[in-house]
Amino acid sequence: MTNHPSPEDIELIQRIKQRDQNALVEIHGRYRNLVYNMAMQVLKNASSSEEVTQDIFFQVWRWPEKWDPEKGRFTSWLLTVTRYTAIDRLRRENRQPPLSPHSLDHLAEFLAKKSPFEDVRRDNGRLLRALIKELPKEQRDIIMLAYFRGMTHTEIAEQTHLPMGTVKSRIRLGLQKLKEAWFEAMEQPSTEPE
Amino acid sequence: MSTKRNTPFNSSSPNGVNCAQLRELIPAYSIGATDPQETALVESMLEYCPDAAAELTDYLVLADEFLYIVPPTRETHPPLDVPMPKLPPVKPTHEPAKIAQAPIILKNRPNNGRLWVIAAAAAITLVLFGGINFYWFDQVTQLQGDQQAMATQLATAQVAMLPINAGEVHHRDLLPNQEVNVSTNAHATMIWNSAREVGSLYVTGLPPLTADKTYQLWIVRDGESVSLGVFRVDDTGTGTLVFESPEPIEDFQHIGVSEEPNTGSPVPTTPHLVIGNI
Repeated sequence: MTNHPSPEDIELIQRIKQRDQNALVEIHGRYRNLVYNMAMQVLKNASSSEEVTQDIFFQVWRWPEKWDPEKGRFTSWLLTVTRYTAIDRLRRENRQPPLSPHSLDHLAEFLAKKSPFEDVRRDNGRLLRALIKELPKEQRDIIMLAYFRGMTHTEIAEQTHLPMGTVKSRIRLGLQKLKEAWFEAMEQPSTEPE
Repeated sequence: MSTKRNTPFNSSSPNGVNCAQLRELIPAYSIGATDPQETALVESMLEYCPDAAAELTDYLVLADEFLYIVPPTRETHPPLDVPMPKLPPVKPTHEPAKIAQAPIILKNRPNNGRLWVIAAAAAITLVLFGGINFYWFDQVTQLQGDQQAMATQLATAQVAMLPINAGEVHHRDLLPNQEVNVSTNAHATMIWNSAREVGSLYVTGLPPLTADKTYQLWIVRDGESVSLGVFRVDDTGTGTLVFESPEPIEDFQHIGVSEEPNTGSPVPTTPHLVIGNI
């Protein structure tokens, strides 16, 4: 796990702080698909995801100082902001993407896909996808709803018509298993379960 | 590294806070799935339950990794992101050297007249191949350059569109000022969002400047000019400026771009090269 920010990102943000628009062009070219993919995962709508992507990079331009390299990688910050922005938008639009068995299966389907990252995060992402895939489906689906739709215990219970206690226990048990498996795998990096 | 903890599940902190209840909520809290009252509970009790706080650290590491499992719903765009195709190792300038060796080999067989014909044909073929290789090498290199330039321009244009995300959007074209000597291809488009007073300028056809000069965008009202920022153009004459206007742009009458000293100028020192009305 490398949480050190890359020197390239630090330099680009530094240049953006100095209002160098070429740096914005560069960072936009480098990460726009990453941001779009995260927005799309939440919103399930191409034009909304495009708008969120534009908004995120505009935020980077206006407030580059909001990313603190001491607190982690630029991509983690960028994706976190994207996720929250997309979830906020979903709430503002007062809609939820269709919650059909197909859409939940689709969430599982992507767990088998390759990640778009070229650094160590790609391997970590692949590892985590494999571990999530091993969770019982009912736990996996609820965790994905919570994470990518930004839904709370109550909202998930309402949406899925499951008792609140069931929702809570599925999230807790699923994440407990995932955490244990994750740190166990991190201690043995050569045994990637895929 | 995961922290192993042996705190009993029903443990309480010395001040009576129920840490077991807190620990049950930690996983959901780490991914933002707790309801508002649960979130408040976690945040108020965390300082009294150090084991739960340490456990939360592990869960937050895991939550951070969740960011990276997103699938590529949009693949990279070919013009921008596909690496340039690798060229075969064609070095046409080396071909003539090979051709020059042919007569030396033939010296060993001076009586075979046909060999001269074959050698000549081979030499001509090699020269032709060399020429064709050189031609295509040049073409491919040129196309690569064009592709790179287009990709850069596209990325630049995409960035120029960033401010128009929401609110009321306006756009004006800036055309060459007939009173100055500027290319008729010079053109600029200014887009702004009046709800946020932010916008962008996308310029094409302006001549690249020396390092001690820059272009500056102005809005003009009754002879008073307000700067919206400075920018440069690339070798193709393309440039962008993303700006925030200190005053409502609709309160002004004209837009113009002038050539100014490197750091910009408080007032225009040269005539506008491209101009437009608001």
